[in-house]
Formats: sequence, structure tokens, C-alpha cells
Amino acid sequence: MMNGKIIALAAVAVIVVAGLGTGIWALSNSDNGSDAIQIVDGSGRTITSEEPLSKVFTVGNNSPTAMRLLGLNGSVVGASSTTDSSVAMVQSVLGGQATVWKSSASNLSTETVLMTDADAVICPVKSMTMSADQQTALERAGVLVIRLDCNGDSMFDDLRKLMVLFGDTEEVHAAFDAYNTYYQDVVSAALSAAESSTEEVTGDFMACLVASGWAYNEVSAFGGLIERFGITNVLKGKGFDTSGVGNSYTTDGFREVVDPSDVDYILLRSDKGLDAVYTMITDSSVEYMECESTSAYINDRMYYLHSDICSGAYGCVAYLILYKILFGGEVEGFSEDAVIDHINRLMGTPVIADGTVLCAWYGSSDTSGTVLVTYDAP
Amino acid sequence: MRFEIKGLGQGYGDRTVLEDVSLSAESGEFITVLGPNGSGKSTLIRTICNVMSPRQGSLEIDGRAVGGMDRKELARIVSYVPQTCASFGYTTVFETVLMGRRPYSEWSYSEDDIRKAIDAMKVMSVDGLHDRYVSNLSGGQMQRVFIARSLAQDPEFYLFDEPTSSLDLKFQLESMNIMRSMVKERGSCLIVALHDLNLALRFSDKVLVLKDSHVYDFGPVSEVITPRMIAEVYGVRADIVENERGRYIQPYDYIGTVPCDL
Amino acid sequence: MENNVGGEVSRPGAEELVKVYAGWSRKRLVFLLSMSLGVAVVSVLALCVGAVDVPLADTVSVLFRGLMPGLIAEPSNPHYATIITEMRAPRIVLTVLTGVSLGIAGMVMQGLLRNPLVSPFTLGVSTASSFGAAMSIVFGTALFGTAYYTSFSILGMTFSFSSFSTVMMSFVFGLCSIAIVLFLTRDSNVSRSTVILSGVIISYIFQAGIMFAKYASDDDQLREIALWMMGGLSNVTWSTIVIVLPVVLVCGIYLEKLSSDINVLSSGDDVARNLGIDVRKLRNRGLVFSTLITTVCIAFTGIIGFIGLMAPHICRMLIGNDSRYLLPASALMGAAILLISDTFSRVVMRPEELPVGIIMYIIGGIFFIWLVCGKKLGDRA
Repeated sequence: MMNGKIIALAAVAVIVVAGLGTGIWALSNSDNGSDAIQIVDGSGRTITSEEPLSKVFTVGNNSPTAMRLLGLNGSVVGASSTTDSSVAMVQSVLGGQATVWKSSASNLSTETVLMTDADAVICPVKSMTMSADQQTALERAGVLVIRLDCNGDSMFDDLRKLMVLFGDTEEVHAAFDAYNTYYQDVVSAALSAAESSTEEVTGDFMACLVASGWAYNEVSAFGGLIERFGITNVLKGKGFDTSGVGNSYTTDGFREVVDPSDVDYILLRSDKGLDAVYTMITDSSVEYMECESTSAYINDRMYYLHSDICSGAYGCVAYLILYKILFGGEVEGFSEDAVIDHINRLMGTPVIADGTVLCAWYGSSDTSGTVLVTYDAP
Repeated sequence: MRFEIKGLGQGYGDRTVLEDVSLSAESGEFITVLGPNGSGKSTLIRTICNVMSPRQGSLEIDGRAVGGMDRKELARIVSYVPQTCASFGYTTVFETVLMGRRPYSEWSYSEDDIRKAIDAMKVMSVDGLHDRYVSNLSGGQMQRVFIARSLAQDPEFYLFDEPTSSLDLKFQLESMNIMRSMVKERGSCLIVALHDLNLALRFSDKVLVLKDSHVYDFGPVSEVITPRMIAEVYGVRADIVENERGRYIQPYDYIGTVPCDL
Repeated sequence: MENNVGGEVSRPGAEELVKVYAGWSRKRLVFLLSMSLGVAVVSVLALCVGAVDVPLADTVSVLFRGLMPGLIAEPSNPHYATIITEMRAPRIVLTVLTGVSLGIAGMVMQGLLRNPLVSPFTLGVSTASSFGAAMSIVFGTALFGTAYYTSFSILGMTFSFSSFSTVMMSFVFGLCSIAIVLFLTRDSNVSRSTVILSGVIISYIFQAGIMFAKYASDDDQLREIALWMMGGLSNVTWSTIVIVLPVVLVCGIYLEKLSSDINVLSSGDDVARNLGIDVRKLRNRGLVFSTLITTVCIAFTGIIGFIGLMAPHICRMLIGNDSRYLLPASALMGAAILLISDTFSRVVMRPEELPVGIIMYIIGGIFFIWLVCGKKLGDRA
């Protein structure tokens, strides 16, 4: 009785062991021509290409944006995104030559990708992205799979990697420099305004990603951004798990560690719009960390920030808004409207639409929320 | 052929059902096993055909231990029909009877197997039902089908557990006649568990009576089936009446709480 | 004259009955041949259809160019060859193999446990495999470190470690389930209900493990687990076929050999023993091999339900219960149902490929309802 089973299992084991042995031996890249382009992508894989890329397929909303900023949108031959509105947005950002399909990344047919004649696919590292099986299938068909988030902390690094992949031409370099310089100018203007301001800004803040129910901790980029303005993250030094960028505030454990009276500022980051945030705050069943006991609520220092301006291509706008919230007033030389308009033009389309609410405040004096900053297109 | 059963002991879990049961059966004998409900008749039949291994005792056919025989070889010698049989949906009568030829075939059935199955169906008058699904038949029809399967198995020893319990009077008599002719004409041996004493009296050569897990008596039918046996084993007082057609049992009293009014 | 419940009509002669039996065998063989032809035709059609429209002329060109290079022109787009030979063909082969495996396994389990409501998953294989896959998805990095995200090559073909670990763990745990069942039912007098009950209990235990993995997962991992459990035949490569095909062939042939004994088992354990069958050995071997054939497929495809339960049922209604014919029939019926469902799932929302279960449960359910209503559950073959 055991014979057949043992033989079958043994056969499988032999295949596996032989494969592992060969694989480990063959793992190193052997094709290293002197002109070969090499980068390490967001998942840690080394990507090698003999020639600069010329045609790519993008997955998600961030890589088309990055390609546009580098002036490489013409090199995108196909794209996929998950919702109708994001498909429309990607279509306009890319400028209309590429076909944009509405599909979830992991269910996208590799046949479709292959038929666009792309050399490579650019997709996010871990979230809403191509599966390992799709990657294997595409690579077997000769299409590289490059995982770059093009968002958040890694945005500028990813832009640099894209430059390298596309041959680091003068035009691309110029486009990158122009954007990078502008972005850094906005950031440094806001920070130096904060430094030279006479306002005394101290205290602890809590920055929350409303939809997910967690607060950004000391290793997060967004938390770090806010700290540059002189206030401290209330999660810092309290022993929270820092393997991820956020810690849940909806658990009893959180409330035991963080004293609401210590929380002087609350920043609520969301892409769901003002009403959704307001509902979440007033809905007691969400257990919104007893915000009514916080110093922030009592002193009217709860703020809503639109997610799009907190990181990514428009991330510099957050600096302007934080300056406004904490120190009051405009940063000299840069207004939110002007900066957003500038980047919208780079995108070729108003990714942030006219009338979008960028910031609002809440507090004990006004529990229905007051809009502070709206984008008014010139 | 001679089937020697010596000192058989059997039980389920902690419960002992049979103790020290011995009998012998030879080709050409019709042996009936009698006993009240729960006396161990079914268990005895199951143990004899080795469907359930005996806990104590030995089973020997012509001197060879049954436990040591190859399964298929034993299947060609001993056939067993339980009191209730299963049939899984959409199996026809023909296919069911044909299964009796399994001990003689490897993977498929030869034409000889098919013809033997047909003969068996004809003997038991189920050939007209050949394409019917067994699970849709009446209890009596099913029992005849299963006996037909046993016939197709062509053994030396038939072990039947209450084969006539679901049959109406006519088919009871017809089946018992067929069984008797199997014994007399083919020279087979039948060991049949029955609850109907009159059928036993009429058709069998020898009778084994079980009481309280032990053998009460074993021997020729006229010696074993006596008013005394009926009183001691069944708790019924009866006369054995004889007329020109044969003998039959007429009960007139019983030991019980409900007053007798026979 | 026969005069009894059920109304027999006539008493046919012996020669007539011999012919009747031969007729049944012939009818069943014809059914098998037509099913085989059907599956072959559907396979070819499935090759032509997908997210990308490959013109028929190009499909023919790709398929036959190797045989007659001089006579057949090149396909109009070089990607068509890759799509058909590297993407669709292995997928169709795995679809057929999976349908075959699940159909066979379902039929064998129903026969061994003498219960028409049993499927290959009744004894806990699906929950155990899902548990293995969930463990790999959620705790892969904890178990294997950064190696989890790497790829490795065998003979020039790349594999991703994460897929490999998911396949291995679901396969190993799937087999564990049957090992546990066999251990729990090692007493020779165990009844069929005990066997089924052990399987159900094992299911619950692994279910707890799956729930824990889901609880500990992040959003992306949770979705990955859910999609795995829905079953899908995406992104199949020839390397998968190299592993699955030999196992399915060997197990399938062995189970066909056992099918004659499984027939006899339908009469009850005691009768089967009396007819010369070693019931315990048959049951154990049958369960092990049908679990093996099931697990080797679902390790790659995820849980694909319905076929194991319904393909044997549908075939039983059409050709009766003789396992020697029912086994290949269930195999072919399973392959046909899965092929049709998979083809629809590739096309209905293209370029998205839906998990195959979504389409299959609808198509299969409707088909079965039609069959039950159309064919009066008859009295005779």
C-alpha cells in the first residue's frame, strides 16, 4: 500500500531537491555585459537589461505619474488600474496613446500585457500588484517585471531608478532635475519659514490614517515629515512595534499607553473626503480613541489633510499646509494653489481637481468641521 | 466437502455473543440455525463465512483452516447473504447478480460469467427485472436478487441469514424449494438462519438451536424440534401435529404477561 | 405469470440477456468516446480564445507550423506563438488534468464510502491544503526569511520561491489530512461513518488554523488567501505540467484497476468481504491515491469544488454505476466542466481572469438542474 505513495512522493522530492540545487548555483546573473543596465528594484531584486527600456506597461496609479514627471509617458504602451475614475486619470496622465485597462493587478491576463509589446512591467512592490505567478509567466515570455512603488518614501529613489532604466538621457535628467529642484524648493521654503518664525510651536501630535485605523509611528515618512516642524510624535518612545509604519489606535492597549491629554495635535489623513472623515469621528462605534478627551480636540487642533498631498508627487504641498496649521500664514513665494497648479501642468491633467478640499479643522468649538484650504485653480 | 466448526467464540467489544459453538456441515445437507431474537444467529453465520474473524475456535474446510485460505479461493467455496443488503444507486439487477462472479474474474466478466449470472437470475425469477435499479425494488424482490447473486457465486456452502423474512408466502415456499433442490440436485450445503420454525421443520435435514450464546442442541430435525425444545428455548408451549402433508407446529400457550388466547 | 409490485413485463431469454449486457457495455464505450472527442474539441477551442483575440488562421499556424514549416506561414504577430504555446496550452492541459483528477477522486470516494454526498474534500483535504497555503502566504517571510521573495532557476526556467512554498505546503498538509484520517480509523472494525466523521473533525481543526492565519494577515495577504481558496488556473507553465501529469497518470491508472473491486463494495462491506475483497486495504489504498491525485492538482490551482461531487453524479445518471466505466466518464466530465468554466472565466471580463469557481458553480448548477428536471429519475437502466 505504501509503495505507490512513497514513489510518488520521492519523485516530487527528487525534482524539488534537484531544482533547488541547480537554482542556487544558477542564481547569480551571468550575463553581465559592460553596457548592461542594472538596478535593484523595490523588492530587492537586481534587474538587468542589456539595452535601455523603451516600452513599458504600468500597473497602478503611481508609476504612470512617475513616468509623466520624467517626460517618459510616451514610452508607456499599456496600463492597468482598478477603478473607472483612476483609469480615466491614468489615461489623461499618459496622454492618450496607451490603452488603459480596468483590471485588478493580480487578475490581469499576461496575454494582454504581452500583446502591448512592452519590454517590462512596472508594478508596485507589495500592495495591489502582480503576483509571483504572473511575474514568472511574464519573465518566461521575456518581459521584465520591475517592482517600484513610485510613491511615499521611495518616490525620488524610484524616479532615479527609472531614469537609469531608460538610459539616463539628457532630456529625462533635465525633467527629473526640474521637478526635484522645484519640490525641494517648496520644502525648504516651508521649513525655513518655520525656523525663522516667532511662533512657539511645541507639543505632541498624532497622525492617523483614518481608513485603516492606525497612527503613524516614528519610523514612518509622514510622521517624520511632521516632526520636522518641531512637534513630536506621541507614539515615540512608548514601545510600539516599529516593523510597520503604523500602529492601531482602536485597541485598548493603545489607550493605556497614550494619554489623551498628551495629544496636542491630531492630523487625520484620508482620501475619502471630508464627510467620510467627519462621520468616522462622530461615530462612536468606531471607537475613535476617545478624541473628545484629547488636548487637540479641546483646543481645536484636529486637522484633516487630503491624502494626495501628504506623499507622492504632490507631497511637498503638505509642508505648506503644515506651516499654515502650526505657524499660521502663507509660506513666502509658494502658495498651495500655485504649487498644485504647477504639478498639475507637469502631469498634463488636473490630477488634483479644482475645488478639492485639502485641509479642514475640527474641535470642541466646531464639531462639524471648517474648511481651511481648498485648491482653487487659477 | 466438509466444514468443521469447533468451539467458536465471538463477541462485539466486551459483549460475548457466542461461546463454544460447534457443528459440522457436509455437502448435501440443509442445516437450519434456530434461536430466539438476540441468540446470535446472525453473528454465527457471519463468523462461519469468516466475514468476521472468530475470537476463539477453528473453522476448517476439508481439514484446511479457513483463516489461512486465499480470499478469492474462500469466496469460491462459501457464499453469504446477509439479512439486509446494501445497494448503491443506479446499479441494475443484472450487474448485482453478476458481482457474484467476482471471485472467478480478474477485472472484467467473461461470457461464461454472464451466462451463469443469467441462469441464476432465471432460477430466482428475477430475469424480468434485469434492467431495474435494485434500490427501487420491493424488499422481497431485493432478497431474491441477492440470493441469485449467491447462486451465481456457485459455492459449495451457502450461508443465508433469514433469506425469506421479507418474502410473501408464495415466494417463501418457492425460495425454500429452490434451496432444497440446490442441496439435493447440486449437492451443495446450506446453512440458513431462520426464525420460522415451520419452514425449518419442513425443509431442513439438521437443525442447530442456539440459546444464550451456547448451542442448545444440534442434530436431525425430527430429534431437535420437539415441544420440549420449543418450550425451553422459545417459551412457547406447542404441539407438533402430523397429517398426510407433513408436520407442523401448533402453539397453544406461552409464558408471558399478556394472558394467552390462542 | 409474474404478479408483483413493480410490474415486470416479460421474461427475456438467455441469448437476449447476453445481448442486453453487451449493449450496455457498448453504450458506455460510446459515451466515453464521445466525451473524449468533446473534451478534445473544447480544448482546441479554448486555445483559440482568451484575453487576446488570436485569429483562427494564426492559431492553426502556431499549432502546425512545427510539423510542416514549409507549407504553413508564420503567424502575423510573434507574440501569438508565446501566448498559445506558453500561456494557453499549459493552462488547458492543467485544466484537463485537474478536471480528470477531481472527477476520478470524487467517484472513488463516493464508491469507497458508499455515499453519494461525498466529495474529494469530505475528509478534510481542502481545508488542510488551504491551511498550508495560508501559512505560506502569511508566515512565509517568518519561515523562510528574505528568501521568500527570491526567484530561482531550474534548467533555465525560473520559479518564484513564494509560489513554490505555497505549492509545497498545501501539498504536504493535504496529504497530512489523509494520514490523520487513516491513523484515527486504523481499527479494522471502524464504520464508514467514523471515517467521514474523522474527516469532518480534521476539517474543523485546520479551519481554525486558516482563521488564525487570516487574522494575522495584512490586507494583501488576506486577499491572496481568499483568491487561492476560490481556485484559479492562471499563469500555468509547463514546469507545473511536468510535475502533475505523471502523478495523475499513475494514480488514475491504479484507481481504474481498483474500480472493479469498488463495484463490489457497493453491495456492503460484508458481502464484499465474502466475494473476496480485502475491504480495509481497498478503502485505505483508494483513499490514499484519490487524495494524492487531488492534492497534487489543488496545490497548484487552489480549491476547485463542485466537480468532485457532481461529475460522478451526472455520469451515474447517464451510464449507471459500473465503476470501470464511471471512473473514466467522471474524469472526462470533470475535464469538460472545468474547461468550459475556465474558458468563460478568461473571456467574460477580459482582460481580467476571474477565479474559475465563480463561473463553474453557476454553469454547473444550472446544468445539473436541467439534467434532473429533464431526465425523470428512472426506474431502469
